[in-house]
Amino acid sequence: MVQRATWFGDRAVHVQATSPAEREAIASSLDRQLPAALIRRGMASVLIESPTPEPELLMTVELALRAIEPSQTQSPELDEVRMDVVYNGADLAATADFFHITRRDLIGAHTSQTWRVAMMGFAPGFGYLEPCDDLLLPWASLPRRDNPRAQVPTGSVAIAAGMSAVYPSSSPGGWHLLGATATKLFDATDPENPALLRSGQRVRFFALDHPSHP
Amino acid sequence: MSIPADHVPIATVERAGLVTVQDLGRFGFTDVGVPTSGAWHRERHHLAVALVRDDMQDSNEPSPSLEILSTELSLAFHEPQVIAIVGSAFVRIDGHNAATDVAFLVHADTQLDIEHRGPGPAYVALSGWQPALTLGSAATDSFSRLGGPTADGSPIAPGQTLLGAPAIGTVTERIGSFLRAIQPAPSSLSMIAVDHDLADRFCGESWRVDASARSGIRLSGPRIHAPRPIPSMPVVPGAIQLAPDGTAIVLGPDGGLTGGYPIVGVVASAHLDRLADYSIGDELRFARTDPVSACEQFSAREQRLSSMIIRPAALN
Repeated sequence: MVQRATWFGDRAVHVQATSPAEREAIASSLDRQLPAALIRRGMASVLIESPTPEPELLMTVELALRAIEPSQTQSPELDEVRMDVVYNGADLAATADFFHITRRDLIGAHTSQTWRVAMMGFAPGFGYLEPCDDLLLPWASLPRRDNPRAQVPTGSVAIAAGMSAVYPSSSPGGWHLLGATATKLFDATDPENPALLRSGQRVRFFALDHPSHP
Repeated sequence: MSIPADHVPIATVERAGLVTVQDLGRFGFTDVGVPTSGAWHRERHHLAVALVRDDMQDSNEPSPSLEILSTELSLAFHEPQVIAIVGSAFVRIDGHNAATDVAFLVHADTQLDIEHRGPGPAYVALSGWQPALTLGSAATDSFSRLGGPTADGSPIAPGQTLLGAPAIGTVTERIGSFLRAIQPAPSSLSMIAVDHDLADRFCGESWRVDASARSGIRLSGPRIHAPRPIPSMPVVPGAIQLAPDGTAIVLGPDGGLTGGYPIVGVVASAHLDRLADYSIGDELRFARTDPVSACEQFSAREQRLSSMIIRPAALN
């Protein structure tokens, strides 16, 4: 498993990954090997960040990368997060039409698909969820909305550009709203564990009410 | 956020332009979507706080300051305080001119008026003020809407009170502390290349500041052909992004955690402060440096900072 680690400024190192599985293998191994550093995932990369400039950082990361055995491709089993969702989102019908399926089938696909937190960003507790295992719909064919909404409700469950996400708080949002969950994704009063989602964690959605959608 | 029992109103905000509560920021949460944020001009924040507080290192409570980005700040004091202002500003105490870069005592019922001159933020530190913390910091983060007096990332507003422990007995020996004027050796704005080809072309040009805010500064200049956007990746303050329209964005403390624009390079940590002092219309150029030299520049600055405070006791 050969990766190139390169400097990203004077207090971070960037490692390119060729696949989500490789990204997970790198990130989860570095999580264990470099507890003092912050391991941050990108869609196809991992950033190792130190609070202050650190001249040895690149060498430290290169040594750690060599310690990753090729067989170590899957991420450790973080417990799966389950989220109950009321699928009554403003864009549910339009999105079903986009995929030329019924709303019931769209909900069925979204809840049957296993998702994994690829990257955290955009807002505190906001995880970009990528589909894992086989794709139940061509999720990536749905682009972001042309005009993002200035405000989406807290807990909105949305999809776009091949990913799913849940908005931890009401904020601007450019993705298609399928529904909403009451699950709390971020708690700023809990410094030990403020975010529900962690990178690499699997997520499953469950339709709360039996949709009477045709 | 519960307020400790011994806290009392130290001062009330009478007038405030764009002024936010800051400290050195939230550490350890960038991997769950919470930026570090914190003071934009770290050096001035550090010096203002060091002038009025006891030894910085051992206090695990983060030391706050008020970061003045524009216009003014007026405070009415209810308790005696040792205060200091660092940065370019006119300071008046009950209408009399007062100095920056020195720690002085204000009594209860004093009126402090600060007129911001700039360029760049000015910082006000108060010896007994202890704002509420969110995730271990009082830093106001407008991007993720955390921190600040109303804990939602908004600036301070007239009518709000600054709470804290009034006891100033322990800090009276700070009164009269001042800054030894050690100017850093002049050097061009250093950046560490990420895309070496782009970085060479970027550093070969002069850039003009189009916009400046805690989220970052936008630079326009000659059109540099930007490669295709990249898969979204984590970024850090100081990252230089090339937007599709050919402008460049140098991320500030509230610049967000991920980006999809190609990255030219990252400004050296020791020079991030300087980005806060550019105004719209300024011209600037970058020079490439290597990470190890950038680390040396950073520790040289830390050394300089620690030797800049002169305590009155040290003089007699």
